[in-house]
Amino acid sequence: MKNSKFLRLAPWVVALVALLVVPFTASGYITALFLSLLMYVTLAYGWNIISGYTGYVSFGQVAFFGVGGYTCAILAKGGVHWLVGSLVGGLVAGLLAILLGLVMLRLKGAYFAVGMLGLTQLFVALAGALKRVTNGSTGIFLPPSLTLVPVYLTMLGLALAAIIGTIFLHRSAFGLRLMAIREDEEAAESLGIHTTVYKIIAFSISAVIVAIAGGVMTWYVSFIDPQSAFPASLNLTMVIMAVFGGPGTVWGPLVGATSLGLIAELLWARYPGLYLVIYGIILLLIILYIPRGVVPSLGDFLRRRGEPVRKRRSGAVA
Amino acid sequence: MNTPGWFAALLQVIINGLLVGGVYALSAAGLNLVFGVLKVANIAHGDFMMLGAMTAYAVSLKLGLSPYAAMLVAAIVLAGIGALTQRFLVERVIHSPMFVSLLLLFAVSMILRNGALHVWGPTYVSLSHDSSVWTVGPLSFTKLRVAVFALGLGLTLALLWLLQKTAFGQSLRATAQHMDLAEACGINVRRVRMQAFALGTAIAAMSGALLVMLFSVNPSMGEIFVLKCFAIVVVGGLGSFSGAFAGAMIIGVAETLTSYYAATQLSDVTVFLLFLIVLVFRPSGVLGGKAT
Amino acid sequence: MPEPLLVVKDVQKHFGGVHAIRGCSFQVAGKSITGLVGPNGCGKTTMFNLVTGTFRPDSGAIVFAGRDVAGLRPHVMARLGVARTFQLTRVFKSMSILQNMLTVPSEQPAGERTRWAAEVLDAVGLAGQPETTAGNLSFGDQKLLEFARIFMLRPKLVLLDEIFAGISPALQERQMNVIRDFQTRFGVTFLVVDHTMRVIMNLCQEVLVMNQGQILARGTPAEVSHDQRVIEAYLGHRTTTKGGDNRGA
Repeated sequence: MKNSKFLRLAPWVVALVALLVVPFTASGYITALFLSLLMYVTLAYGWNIISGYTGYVSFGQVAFFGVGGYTCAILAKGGVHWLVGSLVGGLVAGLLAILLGLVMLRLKGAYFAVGMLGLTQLFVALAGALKRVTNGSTGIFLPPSLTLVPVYLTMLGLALAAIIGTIFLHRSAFGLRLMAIREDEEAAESLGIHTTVYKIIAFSISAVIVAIAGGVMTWYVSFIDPQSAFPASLNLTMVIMAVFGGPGTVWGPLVGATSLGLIAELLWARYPGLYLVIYGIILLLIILYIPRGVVPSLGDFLRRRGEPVRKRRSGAVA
Repeated sequence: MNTPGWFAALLQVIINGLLVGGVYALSAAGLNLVFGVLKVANIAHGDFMMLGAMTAYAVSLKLGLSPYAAMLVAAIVLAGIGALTQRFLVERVIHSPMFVSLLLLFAVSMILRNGALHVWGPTYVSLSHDSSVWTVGPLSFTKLRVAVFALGLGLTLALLWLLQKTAFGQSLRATAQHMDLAEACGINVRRVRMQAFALGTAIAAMSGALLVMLFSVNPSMGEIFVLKCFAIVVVGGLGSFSGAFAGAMIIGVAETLTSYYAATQLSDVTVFLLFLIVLVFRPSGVLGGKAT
Repeated sequence: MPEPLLVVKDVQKHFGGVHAIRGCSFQVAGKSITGLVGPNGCGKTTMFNLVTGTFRPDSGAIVFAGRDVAGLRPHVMARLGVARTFQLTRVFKSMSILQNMLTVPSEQPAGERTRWAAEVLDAVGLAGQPETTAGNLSFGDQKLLEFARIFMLRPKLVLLDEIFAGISPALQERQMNVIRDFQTRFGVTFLVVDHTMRVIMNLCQEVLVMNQGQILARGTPAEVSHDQRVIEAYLGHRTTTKGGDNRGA
C-alpha cells in the first residue's frame, strides 16, 4: 500500500525538485522559458475553473490579468513589496469579480462570451482614460527586477496552488455542483443549488488566480500600459491551452499549457507576426478533431484498449 | 423662429447618429440572419466586416473602382469566404453544444484579425474623403453620410424583401423556425445554412465597405464592431429585424452623443453599457414585448 | 380531510399576449398522490413552473406548508422541500450516477448522504453500477436516475412531469411502486402530470383536470373520467368563443 503510494507520488516529487532547481542552475533563457510555462499553466487553470467547470466560456479573463498587473504596479510604485502588491491585486480582482459576476453571470452562452470580450475592451478604455491612476497610455515604469528567482518561485507556487486547488475542487461537492451548472443550469437550480452563488465564487476564484499571475508578470517585465496589461495573445492562449488539454478536467490545463506553451515560445520567437494566426488554426483543429481535449480522449483510448467492452446495462426500451 | 444654438447642435448630433445607424442596421441584420437560421452566434462577424472593408479598400485602390463597385466586389468575395467557412468549419459543429461553435468562431475571428494585421499592418485606411454638405437651416447633412445611410437602409430593406417575398427567403425562414421540420419538408437545410451564412458574411462585407467610406478603419476594427452588432441585436430583441433597425438607430445616436458631449474614447463604453443594461433588465430587447 | 400541503389560489400568468393561467385554484392534500391531467397546452407544465419558482405568478397565492411561496426562486423552493422532474430528461450527462445523486446539496453528513443515495438507487433499481456515466445510460434509466435524484432533497412535495412517457409498462410499474413506497414510508406527497391514463387511474387518489389555464374538474379517477366537461375538453366539442368567460358547461 505505502509502497504504491510512494511510487505514484515519486514522479511528481522529482518534477517538483527539478522545477525548484531550475532557476539556480539553468541559464537565464531557460529560466525565463520555464517562467512563461508556469504562467501559462496558472492562467489555463484559472480559466478552467469558470469556463471548464461551470461552462461559462469567458473570452475576457485577461481583464483580471490587467487588474492584478495595475494593482501591483501602482502599489510597487508607492513602495509596497511586489509580492504583497500581487496578492492585493488578486484580492482586488476577486472582489471586483464578485461585483461584475452579479451582472455578467446573468448572461448566458454567447452573451456571456461577447460580454466578457466587451468587458476587456472596457478595461482597456478605462486604463487609458484614468490617467491619474494608471498614467494613461504612457504606462507605469517599475525598477527592473535584478533576479528572476523570486518571481520564478512565486509563479511556481501559484501554479502548484492552482493545480492542487483543482484536484480538491474536482473531488468536492462544490466542484460537482459547478459541473452540474455546466451540464444543466436549470436542473441544478431545481435541485436546490443556488447557482448564482456558485458561479460567482468560481468566477472570483478564477479572477484571483489570473490577477496574481498578472501582478507577478508585471513586476517581471517592469512595465505596464493598457496594451501590455490586457494582451489579446494571453486571452487566446489561456483558452486554447485549457481546451486542448481538456476543459473541466484536472490534468487538461497542465497538459495543454506545457505542450502548447513550448510551441508558443517557439512560434513567438520565429513568427512574431503570425503566431496568433497559427494559434487560431490550432484551436480550430482541436475543436474539429478532439473537442473534448487530449486528456479525456487519451483516457478513452487507453480504456478501450485496456479492457474488453463491458456489457451494457439492459435498459427499459429494447 | 430662431433655433437656440444648443438645440441645433443636439439635433445635428442626433442626425449624425441616425445616419451612421443605417450601416449598423445592415450589419446587425446579417448577424441576426445567421443566428436565426444556424442558431450560431457569429462572434467573428466584426472580422468579416473588417475583411469586407479591407477588400473594398484594396480593390478600389488597385483596380481604380468606385467605392460602390468595390463594395459589390467585397460582398462577392466575402460570400465565398463565408460559404467556405460554413461548409468546412461551422457546419461540422452545428449540432454540438453552443460553446463549441463559440470557440470555433473565436478561432476564426483570431485568424482573420491577425492574418489581416499581418497582411495590411495596423495602419488606418479610408476610402472616400468627399465632405460636401447640404445645408438645411442650421443643420448640415454630409452628402456622403446621406448616401451611405440610404444604401444601408436600401440593402436592409432588400434583405427583408428577399426573406419575406422569395422562395429562397421562405426556405431560410422555414429553417430558422424549425430545422427538423424544414428538413422533413424537403428543404436541403445544409445548403440553406450555407446560403444563410454566406449571405450574412456578404452583408457584413457590404456594411464594412460602407463604413470605410465614412471612417478610418484598420484590421482590428472587428473587436469593437462585433460588440456593436451584438449590442444592436440585443437592444432590438434577438431575431427581430425591425427591432434591430431601431436598435441600430439607438446605438448610433448613443455613441455620437457620447463622442460629442463626453469623449470619443467613451463611445464604445456607452455601447457596452447599453448592451449590459438591456441584457440584464430587458432580455427580450427594448421593443420586444414577448418573452418566449 | 387531511391538511392541504399545497394551496394554489386564483393564480394568473400572462406571457406577452398569451393568458396561460387564468385564475387557477386547487389544493393538494398532504401525503397524497394527486394527478394533474388535461389536454396539451392547457397549462400543466406552466403550473409546475409556477409552483417550483421558475416563473413568478402575475397575481394569486401559492401556499406551501402554510407559507406563501409565490415568486421564490427555484433553489429556495427545492430547499423548502419542493422537488420536480422535467418533461425532457435532464440528468447531468458527463457525471456518474452516484455523482448525479451527490450533487444535490443537503445538510446531512457525507456518510449519511451516500447511504441514502444507495438506498434510493436501490429502490428504483439503479444500484448496480453507481460509477456508470449518466450519458451512457438508456433513455429509461436516465429517467429513473432523474427520478431518484430528487429524493436526495428529502422532499415533502414531488412534482412529476410525464415521467411515465416513453418507457415500458414494466418500468412504469416499478416507478409506481417506488412512488407508493415513498408515500407510505416517508409521507412524501406527489403531484403527477401524465398522459398515460392507466397510470393516473391506478396511482392517484385524486385527479385535477386542467383546461385553458383553469381547473375544470376534480375528483377520484373514476368520477373525473365520467365527467362530461372533461370528456368534452379532451375531445374538443366545445365551440370556443372569444373572451372565454361564459362557457356553457
